This record gives sequence, structure tokens and C-alpha cells, in this order.
Amino acid sequence: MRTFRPRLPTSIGSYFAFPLIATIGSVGALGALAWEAFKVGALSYGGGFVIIPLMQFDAVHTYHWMSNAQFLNAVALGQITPGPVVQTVAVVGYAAAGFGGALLAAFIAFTPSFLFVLFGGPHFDRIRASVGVQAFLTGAGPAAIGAIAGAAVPLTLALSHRWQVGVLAAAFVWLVLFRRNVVVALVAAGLIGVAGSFAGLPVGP
Amino acid sequence: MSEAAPPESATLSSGGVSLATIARGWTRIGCIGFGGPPTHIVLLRRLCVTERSWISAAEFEDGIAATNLLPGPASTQLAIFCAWRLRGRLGGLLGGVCFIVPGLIVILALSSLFLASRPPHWAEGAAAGAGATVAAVALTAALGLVPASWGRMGSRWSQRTRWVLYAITGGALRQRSVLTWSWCSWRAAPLRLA
Repeated sequence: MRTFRPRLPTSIGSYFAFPLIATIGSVGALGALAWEAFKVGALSYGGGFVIIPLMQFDAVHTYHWMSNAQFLNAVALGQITPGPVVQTVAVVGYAAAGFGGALLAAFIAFTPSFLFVLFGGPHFDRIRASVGVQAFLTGAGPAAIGAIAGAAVPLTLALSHRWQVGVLAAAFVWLVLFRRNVVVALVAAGLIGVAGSFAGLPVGP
Repeated sequence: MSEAAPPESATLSSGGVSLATIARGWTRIGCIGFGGPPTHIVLLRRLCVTERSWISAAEFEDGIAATNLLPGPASTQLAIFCAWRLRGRLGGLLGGVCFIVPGLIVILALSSLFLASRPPHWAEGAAAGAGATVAAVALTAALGLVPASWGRMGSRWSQRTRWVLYAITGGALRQRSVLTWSWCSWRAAPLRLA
């Protein structure tokens, strides 16, 4: 009976080929991450939540940087931390390529904002008066709203445990019906999750 | 860097604002700015308009209106704008970085905890609980954007129908959001140009 033995590279070229392929692969992954961050920073309307329709499918299904549950955590982290919500891209970058990926994603997502304001600031009056800009927003606004609201469907389907549905229902009442504070909802839900973990509720992926 | 300073006409008491003052003020807002853009706007207005009178209320509102027209994170752009108004490009760069970095440090620390291959059991619980609310949070965010967008579209029945159509299209094609937004904008342009 023949036993399988992995073949070792037999030429000098082969020894270089594997690291080269790995390097090209990682450069490709960083390129994809850079593009995702650029979309959020330079091409998006609707605030920090556009990260959900813009990045969820690619981060979870196309590139497999993170699971659905981890993506939910990324959005939650972006909400409960101070400062811009858009830094959720750093969490996605961390999942894709560690600290370097996080810093790259944050750098690319925020750089367009600096360029727009520092070089466009003197022309803000013209931008506000521009019919073209107004026309663009007239169409982009409702489409962005639809995209963010539509993202609630896959976000709900991403829940893995039945008790989470109860937490979501409570959050819906608190946020959508009573229009109360988002940070309070997230922190309270997190504490419920901690209590649940000690009480034996399933919390893993 | 600071040669492209903003116009002086609307300057109030912004003449002597040092870079160190900008660094302190914007870092503070970056540290206590929990709650997203509404909180950031309140904190920036309190610092720049109410307490220090660096920027007039009208110019601050103009800044909000202009940054809402730009793609990307509007409240971050407003923070950069306010600092730029005080000390030109160098001030804007410094203010923006000081506004962003505190939250970035916190979120990186939390990422290393929550995205670890074996996070602590309590952290998994916290993540599962907080993550469960995100769909409702997204819905709230979308609803918060409706009034301004609805008002911009116009009051005619056909315009409102188009608004609903674009929203449905955006929801259905969310995985291709940028393309969808571009298409809707191209379709909507005649409404504004007419």
C-alpha cells in the first residue's frame, strides 16, 4: 500500500515561489481591505452605519475576515466607543490583518475627510450652492437609508441564539419606538449578555 | 501648511488659538464623545461657539450643512473644519487626529479582546448581548436620516414616489451600495435641475 508523502520543493525556484505567492495573497487581501475602507471614507453617505451595507457581505462572505457574529460585535464596538462611528472599519481591518490592518483601514477611511476639508474648505460655499451636489444627494440619500434599513434583515438573521432575539426585541422597543439612547441600549444588552454567560446561556458562535 | 488659512471676515476671537489648545480641546472631545455624531456636534458647538466664541453660530451651522454634503463621516469632517477655521491646515490636521486617535486606541484594545481566538467567556457574553441590538440600532440610524432626505427630494407626489423607490432599491441592492447610490443620484438629477 502506498503511503502519501508530501513532496518537498525540489528546485531553488520552488523555495521562492511559496513565499512569493503568500506575499501576493497578503497584498491582495490588503488591497481588498483598502478598497473597503476607501468606500466607507470617500464614497459613502449616511454616517457611520453605511459600514453595514458596504462591508458586511464582503467582510463575512467574500473575504471571510470575520464571522457574522464578529461583524455584529464590530458595529457594536463602533457605537460604544467615543469618537467617530466610522472607526468600526478598524475592527474589520483588525480581523483581516491584525493591528497593521486596523491602522491601514482607519488611515484610508479617514484620509479623504482630511483632504475634503483642508483643501475643499475654502470652497464650501460653492459646494453648498452646487445644483449637481444637491442632485447627487437627492438620489443618494434615500438609497443609503434603504441600504442601512435593509441591513437590519441580515443582521437579525445573523443572531445565533434564541435569547438574543428577546434582547433585539427589547432594543427595538427602546430605540425605535421610544427613541432612547443607543449607548445605553448597547451597554445594557452587553451586561445582559455577561449575566447570561454566568447563568449558563449559550454565548459562543 | 497653514498658508491656506480660512477667511478672516467671520473670525471672532480665534486669532490667538494655539495648536496646543486645539490639541487639548479636540482630544477631550475625542475622549468623551460617546454617542456618535449628535454628541460630537453638541460638544464642538459648546467648545467653539458657546464657551470660547472662536466661530460664529452661523458659520458653525454652515459647517454642518457643508460637511453633510461631503461623502464620509460628517462629524469627523466637522471637527476637522472647526480646527481648520482656527489655525488653517495644520490646525485642521492636528484637530482631526486628536479627535480620532483616542477612540481608535480604545477600539483597537477592545478588538484584540473580542476578536481573540479564545475570548474570555464573559466577553463572549457581552459581545453576544450587545451584538443582538445592532439590527435595531441600524434601523434607528436609518430612521434618523429620513426627515432631511425626504425634505430634500421635494413635495410633489412623483418625487415622493421616487424617494420610496430609491429607498427600496437601496435596501434590495445593499451589497452594491455605491453603484446603487450613483444610479439613484443620476436618476434624481433632473428632479433638482428642473
